[in-house]
Amino acid sequence: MLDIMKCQFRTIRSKGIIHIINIMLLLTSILLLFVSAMSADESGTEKPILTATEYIPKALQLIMGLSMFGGTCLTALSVSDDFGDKTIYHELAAGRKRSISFFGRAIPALIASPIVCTALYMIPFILYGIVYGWGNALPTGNLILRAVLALFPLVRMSAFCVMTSFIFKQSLVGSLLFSMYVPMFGMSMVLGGSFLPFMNVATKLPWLTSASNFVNLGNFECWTTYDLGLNQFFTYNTELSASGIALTIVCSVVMTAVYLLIGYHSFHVDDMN
Amino acid sequence: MELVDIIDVIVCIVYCMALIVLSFISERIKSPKWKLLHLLVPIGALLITKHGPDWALLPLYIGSVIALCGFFTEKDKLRRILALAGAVCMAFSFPTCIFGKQYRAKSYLRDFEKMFDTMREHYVLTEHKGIDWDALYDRYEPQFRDIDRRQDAGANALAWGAFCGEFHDGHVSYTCNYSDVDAQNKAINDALGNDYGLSVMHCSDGSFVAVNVDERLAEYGIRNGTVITAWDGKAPDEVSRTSPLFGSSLFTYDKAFDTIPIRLDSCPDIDNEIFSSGLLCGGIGGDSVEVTFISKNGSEQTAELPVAGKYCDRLADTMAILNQGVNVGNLQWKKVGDTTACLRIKGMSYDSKSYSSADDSAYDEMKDEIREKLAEYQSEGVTDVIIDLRDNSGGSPHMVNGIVSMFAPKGEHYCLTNCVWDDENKCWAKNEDGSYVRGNDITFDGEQLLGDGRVIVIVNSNSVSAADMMTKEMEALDNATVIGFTGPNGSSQAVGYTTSDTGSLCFSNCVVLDEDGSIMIDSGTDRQSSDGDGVTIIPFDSEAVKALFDNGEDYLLSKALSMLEHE
Repeated sequence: MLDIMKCQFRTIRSKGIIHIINIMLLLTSILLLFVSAMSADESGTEKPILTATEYIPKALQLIMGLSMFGGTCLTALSVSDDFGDKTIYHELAAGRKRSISFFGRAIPALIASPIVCTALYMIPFILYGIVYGWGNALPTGNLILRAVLALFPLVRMSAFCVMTSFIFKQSLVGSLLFSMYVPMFGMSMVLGGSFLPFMNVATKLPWLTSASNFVNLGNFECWTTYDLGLNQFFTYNTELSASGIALTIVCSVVMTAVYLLIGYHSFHVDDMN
Repeated sequence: MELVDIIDVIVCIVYCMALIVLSFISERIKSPKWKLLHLLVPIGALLITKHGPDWALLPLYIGSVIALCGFFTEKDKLRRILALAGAVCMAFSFPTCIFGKQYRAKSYLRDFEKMFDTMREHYVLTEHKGIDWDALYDRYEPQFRDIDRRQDAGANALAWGAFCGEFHDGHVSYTCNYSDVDAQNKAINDALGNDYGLSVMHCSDGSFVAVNVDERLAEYGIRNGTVITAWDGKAPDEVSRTSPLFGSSLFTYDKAFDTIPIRLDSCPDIDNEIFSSGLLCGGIGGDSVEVTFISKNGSEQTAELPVAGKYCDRLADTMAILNQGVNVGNLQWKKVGDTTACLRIKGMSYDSKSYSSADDSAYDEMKDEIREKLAEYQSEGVTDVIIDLRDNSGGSPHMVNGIVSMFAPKGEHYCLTNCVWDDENKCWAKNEDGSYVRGNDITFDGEQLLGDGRVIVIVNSNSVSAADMMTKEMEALDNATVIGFTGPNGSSQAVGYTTSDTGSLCFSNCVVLDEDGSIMIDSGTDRQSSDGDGVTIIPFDSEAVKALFDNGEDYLLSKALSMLEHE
């Protein structure tokens, strides 16, 4: 299985389309972040430039939503690419076990996709912090905890893509399922969560889906107050509830197992033609 | 059971039945791909329902998992059995939803706890008003737990009203969701009790009089202004205190006209509470009440008054008469005398752009409009102005400065003092003695547009927040007089909101200080607000009752005009 895994990692490293998608997403995120930070507000008055930790609560969810697309594309393209050129069929014909073919492809995707996703949403803020300062509006330790916790739903998301890739044997299906999710989420946020009834549910019960669980970790409960000069002051409640952490981990682990089980079972009994 | 859930369960059951039929097809054409359709069952069960999952729908979810298991077997017969078992299990959703009390239950207790915690953390008058949060929680948590169990939206509104009333702060109020408005109105109207044909008001001389009296009570000798000495043998204010709504801060909302017919306030200033201390007694009693009154010949008589409907309509009517203002729009003028024009200000908001600005120049347009209109009136011989602030719900203090500056005598005038934000501790900065740290003073320059003319400001206990500030500023001017049956509300801190699934809670969140660094205007534990001391109280007496309830006059406006004439 190790040789298949090495091969998969090599594919991920060398596949041009994956790099192009991720670089485009990264540039879009950076552009969004900097342009939005420097632009004037609705009333036309110039906004003060925020530090990175002041800006994270306002923009992290958006950037996380974009990064999901990169992670799902990576998984879908790396896993199901071998269906296109019949590599898997040759492997099976050569006497490889189906379980080895399956997990040899699934495991690298489950490792690489969360890492790439994490990098995609972290790098823009790190760059922003270098330019405008990091600040102390949010405790860095809490941000790291959230980033680590976000790996669980990212693994779950990747497992979902592995499953759809093995069921449909097409690279685009898995990523399309999630790429649809991104604009849905965007519109839901713009339209106050009323665009789709399901989005309301996902906001209240983020553990229902990996995407909502992941993006919800970028949500910081904020309390805004102001003085008579209408200067606004923000207080963030960055604490994560124990139940929230537990549900994130348990739901992610259970659903990852379920997705892999379904994906493997589908692959295990399917005709290879 | 909600239609969307009925549809969802039926669709899932039908889908399971379809899986049984499809399994025969898959058997015939020998394709394993058909079993992929088993994967769609949980998607249908979980995601179609727009309100999300619910514990009462557990049979639906279990059934979908059973049907999903068909995906993992190659045996068609077993797949059929699993699909059938799933469908049967799903069918149990109907009894669990129909008979389950917690089906689609609203989380009244969780919402109370969430909003209570937020308010506790951010309410800025805790020390000033001596709020004991633990005691409040102990008192209200069982109520909301019971409401949660009973799923009673009306009781929820009443409990929040009572909770908000504990603060004696005009800025603490609860607004239920639009879907619960009818339940809230019904609960308040029911709690207000029966109508016996009259309301009772406290007079300035300490007596209680009948007001807004039904014509049919004339046969008993009760008319507007009749002195009421007892209500079922007790003093009217004592009876009022037995009302379940006494001390509550809540309101009814008329969806059709977008109005608030009844607003009950726990009165930050105790003097305002005394003024309305007899109002609630008008609805308290059984099938009839014994009303003791002073008859025309001076003797004390008792009449047994039967129920004649619900008190809510009469109370709304009484409040409308008591709190009436000049009937024109916000920031509109009306000439009310040969030499007097009235400016009505219902809310301290000019437009959205100026409202979100702290720059004084944001209100230049408004000031130009007022100057222009005033010049027009002055050319017609107007020398004095009445500013009607009754029922003014507040808004921007900067707009207040804009208006007051035009009428204030020339020179610099103090307005209020800002507070200082402690960015490190994320709270308003405090001194060692617990008082808030003073920030910059906000002042304005007077223009004295009226020259030697005078200004009279009319207020009532619903003139709140920025209207309170305006009252305080006008009180301090030599050329202005503030009048009313009572002082203004007595609440001037700026507000914050917290929301939940069932409603939202508003409370004082931003600190506004007085010149000496004390909390501006808002009453403390003594329930004496620091504005209104300079208000000229117009006695609520037989003359006022006759003018308001018999003649339909705007008594305070008439008084203001006569004061200007007299001066």
